[in-house]
This record gives sequence, C-alpha cells and structure tokens, in this order.
Amino acid sequence: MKNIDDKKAEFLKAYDHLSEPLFRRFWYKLSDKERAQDLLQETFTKAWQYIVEGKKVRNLKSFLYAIANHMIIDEYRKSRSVSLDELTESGFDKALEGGHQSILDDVELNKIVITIEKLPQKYKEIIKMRYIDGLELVEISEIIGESENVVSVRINRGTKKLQKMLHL
Amino acid sequence: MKDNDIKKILERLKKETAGGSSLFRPEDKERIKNNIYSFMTAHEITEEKKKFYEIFGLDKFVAMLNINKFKMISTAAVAVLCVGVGVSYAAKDALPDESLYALKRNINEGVRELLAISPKQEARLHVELASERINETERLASRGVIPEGTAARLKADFKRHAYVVDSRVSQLKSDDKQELALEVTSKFESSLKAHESVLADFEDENIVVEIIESVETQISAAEDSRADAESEIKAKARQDKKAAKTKMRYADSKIDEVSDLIKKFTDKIGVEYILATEARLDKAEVTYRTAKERYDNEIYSDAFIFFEMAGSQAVEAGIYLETKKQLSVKDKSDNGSGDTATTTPITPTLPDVNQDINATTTATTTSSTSSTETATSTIGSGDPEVITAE
Repeated sequence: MKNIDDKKAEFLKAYDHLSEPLFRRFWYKLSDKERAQDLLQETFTKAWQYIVEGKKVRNLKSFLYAIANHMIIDEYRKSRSVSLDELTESGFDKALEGGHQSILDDVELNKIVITIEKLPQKYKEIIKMRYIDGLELVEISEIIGESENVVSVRINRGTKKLQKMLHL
Repeated sequence: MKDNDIKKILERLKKETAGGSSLFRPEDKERIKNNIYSFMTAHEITEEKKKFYEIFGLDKFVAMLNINKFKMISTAAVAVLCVGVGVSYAAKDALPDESLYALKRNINEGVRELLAISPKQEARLHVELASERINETERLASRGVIPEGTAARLKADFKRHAYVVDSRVSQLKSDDKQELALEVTSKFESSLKAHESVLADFEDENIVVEIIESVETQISAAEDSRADAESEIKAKARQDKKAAKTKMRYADSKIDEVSDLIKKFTDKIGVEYILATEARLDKAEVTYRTAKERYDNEIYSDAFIFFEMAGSQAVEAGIYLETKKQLSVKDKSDNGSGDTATTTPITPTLPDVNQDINATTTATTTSSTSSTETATSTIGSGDPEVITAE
C-alpha cells in the first residue's frame, strides 16, 4: 500500500506529465491564457481534494482528464448560460460548433476542428488528445485504459471518418 | 485530396495548437506546481478521514445487499411461474450455431416479450435483448469466423430490438415520462458503448465492422435521445430533492457494484481490462461529484441528470468488465483449461434498482438472472426479422 508521501510524489509527477497537454486543451477551448492556467491549477487542487476526502483514484491520469472536462463544461455553463444538454459531453461539443472563438487563423484548420467535434465520442476524444493536446500514443493509452494498438486503430479509423465527413 | 493529406492537415493542427505551449512558460508551470504543492500541504490525507470514508463505503455496501436481496426474491417469484426450467436454463447461453438457440429465442425471450406489457417494460427488455445480440456476436467472433448469414441475422435482430427501444422511448416521451425515457436511453447508451469497445477487438473481421457501424449509429441516436430527455427535465425543473436523492442512491450502488467487480476480477483477467474498467469508473465518480455539488447547491434537476449519468457510466464499466471476463474465460475453455461450468456467460446487463421483470444483477447473481429467461411460449412469429428455429 502506498504511503502518503508516495501518493504526493505520484500526484506531482502526474502534474509534470499532464500540465502541458491540459493547458493546451483549456487554452484551445477558452482562448484565454490566464483562465487556462487557473483551470489547470483548479483541476489538480480539486483532484487532490477528492483524494483527501478518501476517494480511491484508480487511474490518476484518467481521473485528471475527467475533472478537466467537467471544469470546461462548468466554465461554459457559467459564462454562456448554455442549456443542460450542452453541459453533457456531447452537447457541450455541439455548443462549440457554433460558438467557439477559434484560436486558429487558418480556415482549413478551423473546418477540421469543427468536424472533429462531430466525430463519434470514442474517436473524437482520442483525436483531440493526439492532435490538440499533443499526447503520444502511449500516453493516450494510459489515460483511456486501452492498449496502444486500440488507440492506434481508433486514430486511423477516426481519421478516415473525418476524411469522409469532410468529403476529401 | 489523398489519404495522407488529411494526416498532413492534422499534423499541422498539432503544430498550431502546440503554439499554445509557448504561452505556458516553464516559470508558469513551476509557479502552478508550487501552488498545488502548497494546497496539498494544507490539505493532508489523514487516516481518520480515510477510515471514515471506508465506514461510509461499508454502509453503502450493506444498503446495496438489501436491494439485491429484493431483486433476488422478485426473480425467484418469476422463476416459480415458469415451466421447463431445466431445458430453458440450458438454452440461456446458446449461440446461433447451436441447437438450443431456437429455444432461447422463441421460448425464453418470447415469453419475456409477452410479459413486458407497458412501454417501460418493453423498452427495458429490448435494451437487454439488443445487448444480448451483440454479446452473441462477440462470443462468436472470439471463437473465430462468424458465418455471413449468422452475422446478417444478428445485425437485423439487433436493429429490430433497437427499433423497439426507440419507439417505446418516443412513446414514454410523448406520455411526458421524461425520467423513464432518460433512464432507458442512458442504459441503452452505456450498454452499447461498453460492447462497442469489446467489439473493437474484432474489427479486423469485415462482418464485425458492419455490426460495429450499426452499434455506432445507434449510440448517436441514443445520445441525441438522452440529450432531449435531459433538456425537458431541465427546462421544467421537474425534479425535487427526493427524486435526486433516489438517483444518488442508484449511482452509489452502481459505482459500488463495479468497484466490487474490479476487486473480484483483479488477477483473474488481463490487467489491461482492469485498467480500462477503472478509467471508466473514475469517469463515473467524477460525474458523481459534479452531481453531488449540484445536489448540495439545491439544483435538483441538474443533480438528478448527473446522478443518472454517473450511474450509467458505472454500468458501462461493469458491462465492459463482465463481457471481457466472459470472453477470457471462454478463451481458456477453448484452450482446454476450463470446464464447461466456468464458461457460463455473465449477463452483461446491470439494471437499475427498480427493474422488475428483468431483475438481473452482476456476476455474483448469475444463476438468479438466468431463471428470468425461462419461458413457455413463442413470440415474434409475425416478425420477418426474428431468428427462427434452425
């Protein structure tokens, strides 16, 4: 059984690994550097709070990603008064299609980003982790708890679906 | 545009968003890390809190046992009414290429369809039967090649069950039973997502890919349907504290059930499946926390919806793990290392606490689950898509 110091060390190590990809995700979604940094910090403090309260975390990285996604949902809810279906993951992504202030100048890239949001959930999340958060296959595999092979297959299938949706 | 062009665009996107990293300077990273460390120091883990949590968890476990006891009594009552228990029981795990399959479909499932009278009962039953068709596909795929005709019939039957679910959910919605509609669509969605992940292991088979595509289509439909029900519930602020609390207990029990399953199957199944289940369960627990925050802030409709979502995410984790366990046991059996008793599939459905006819539960109650499938008559003879005796 891990002692408290081990848990702390593991937690800070997770920060070292995930702070950059999570910052990119927050920044990409919110187009606000300061807010992205606030939410990043809040993600980790919230996670630690859960642990302190006795929550048994099985997969820390996956847990942190889940919290980060909920933080974004909450952020949109506060700032844009979206309806509840937009609070759910799929609904939230739909909200992005119409209202997202893109950080990207390139028209072609914007089109891709909007279309990624329309992919089925299992492809969408992995494609975003790979091409927006900049994670490696092995890191995605750890977060979603699937093998690298499954991650690789889904990226390929997701890319093909994306191509089809874009009529390329 | 060629295939590799989209990959180039995606790589360009990756490079572009990587530009965001320049806004996250090393000094920012270090500053936030220090803040987090300070927070951690100010909020230390204490043994007292840990013990309290464990006691709380035990209380929930005891509560869950009582619920399961009720389920088992209901199940036994249904079983007593049935005849031909032995043969029906033997047929419950039959696959399309086996002689007892016609009995399973026409008798076991037939009588259950007859007993399901209300839209709610029908919807719940067909969620389960749709899952069973996918599970049969998984079991056949794990054995090797699925005959083309069999795959086509399984796909057609899956679509028929999905159609019944959709139509009964529409009926529930038009009767303004949004909560029931939400419950059914959430359950369907979680079952489909769990099976979709399992099927992904067999996607080298073209026949399986076709079934995966049908499942994906149905997932999208279920997601839309769920979002509609959520909007209705939210718009009318329909739920009070009591209803939200009931859903909280439901989510609690599902999370506990899956935690127990993980403990039970650890060291008995590939570690990758345990990790994948844990990742799903973590997601459910985070959603649960969100729901609890809404509940504490007295936003009960939101809380109701998020508790439902947390429960469904836990159900998805449970179905995924049970199915993986079922298939891995089967693999061992095929290799000659297991006896037939160990190959008994675990029903991949984790119904809610109120489920009546389909009063099934997790692997620990497999035998009681099976008894609900016994039956005495046929059904679906007028439906051209129903698999008939072979």
